[in-house]
Amino acid sequence: MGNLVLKGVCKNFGRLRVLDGIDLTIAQNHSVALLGPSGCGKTTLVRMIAGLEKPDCGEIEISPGGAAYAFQEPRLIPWKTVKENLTFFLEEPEIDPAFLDTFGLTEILDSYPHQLSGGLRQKVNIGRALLFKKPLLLMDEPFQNIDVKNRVSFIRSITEQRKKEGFTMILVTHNLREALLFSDTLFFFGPKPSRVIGEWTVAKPPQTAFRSFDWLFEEEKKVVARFPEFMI
Amino acid sequence: MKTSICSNLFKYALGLLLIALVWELASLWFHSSLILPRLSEVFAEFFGLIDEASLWMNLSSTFLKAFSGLLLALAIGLPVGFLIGFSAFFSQLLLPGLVLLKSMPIISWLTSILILWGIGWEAPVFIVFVTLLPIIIYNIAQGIKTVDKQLLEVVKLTHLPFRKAFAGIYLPSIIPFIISSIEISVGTMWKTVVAAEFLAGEKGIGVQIAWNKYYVNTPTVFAYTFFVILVGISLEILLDAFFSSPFLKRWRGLWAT
Repeated sequence: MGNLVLKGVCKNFGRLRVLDGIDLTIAQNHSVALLGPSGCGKTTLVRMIAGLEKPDCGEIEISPGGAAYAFQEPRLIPWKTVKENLTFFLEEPEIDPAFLDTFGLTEILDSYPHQLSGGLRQKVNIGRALLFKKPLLLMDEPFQNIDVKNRVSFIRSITEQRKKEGFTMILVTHNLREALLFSDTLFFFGPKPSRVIGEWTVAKPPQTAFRSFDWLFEEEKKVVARFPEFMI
Repeated sequence: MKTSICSNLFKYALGLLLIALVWELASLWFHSSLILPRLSEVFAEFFGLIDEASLWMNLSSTFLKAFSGLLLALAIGLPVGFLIGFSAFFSQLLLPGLVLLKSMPIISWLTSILILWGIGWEAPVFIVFVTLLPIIIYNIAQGIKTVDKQLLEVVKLTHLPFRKAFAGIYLPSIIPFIISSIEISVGTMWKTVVAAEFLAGEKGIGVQIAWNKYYVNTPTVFAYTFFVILVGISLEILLDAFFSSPFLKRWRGLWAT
């Protein structure tokens, strides 16, 4: 039983067809990445899955429980501190201190968004989405402005959390390595009007995946050999 | 810095002097204190007035009416503004009424008001109220419409209860709009209340102006007018000081960024 099924989903903006017959099945507790050229409708697809937009045709079946969404922009409340931003949307305002440490949020809890760098704001955004603890986590290019070292440690922490709590994840990204580290399956989108033009099942990463990147580079070579237009 | 303040003050003083000069020339031209009295006459009247207890009683009476009208307009304007901001239906339903209210001359109310209440405090309060109401409603409705759409999507996605979203997102977003609507209202309120008293009041500054006009006491009319202007400017300065006080500034600064 798939957690999330898309059948022939399409979307128009005015006369322009952006998404054209998207069929996807994402199994429960799986992590997938959506890759494709800018403006091909990946964000629109994720917004439709979140229920923020309606498809013009096709169906989206989503198992109950709702979705958490780390938006492309941090979308923090300017007059609330980081701590208030993290808890404002939650029913239970307690946060596990270990979680805050893992995501580097402990030191900035009392800061206001305008006092933070773009990367730190993005961290709060990701942290907020994870705290919703929904069965589906949507992330739209969440690692912009975050340096490579933090990026890898974040991907690792989120992956561990996903294994522990079991949620499905959809990641929109332009970064093939990020996608490979994160995902079980990659879906490649073509230019407008966009459809899924390819699918890649990521080889199971070894235990050392986050320390030695040999596996990652090998996998990247294989993907690029098949989808040369997605080389970054 | 200090020199620039000094030179600014000097320019202001020069500006005032220019007004005085034009006034005096005009007054010499008309050569009649019934049309335009000399400045010296007006000032003599003015200093005579502020020695009288009746001026201060009139002032407090006018103040009371003005602020009653303002409070009433806020009490009704804030909720109606919210309603219009939140609901397209109410926005369309109430828009014609608002446009009407905004464009209607205050003297048009007069006949009905005088028949209903006669001469007294009610008419000035009502006129201040109907003048400020559309200003406040427009400001608040505009404020609601400018609340960050991206934050509202997060609200929608998380099914946040409306009560919580209102207190945590809507209200802080529109506080600058509430402040600016009060700032605009106070200036308008002061001019309006004096005019309304002139037309339908029983006591207050406007009534004094009306009586002195009746007895063709032109210097006294101008002395009262000078007083009205001074009070109006003082009100604006006080309000400005209040809204830029450290407490409010901290909040406004946070919203600005």
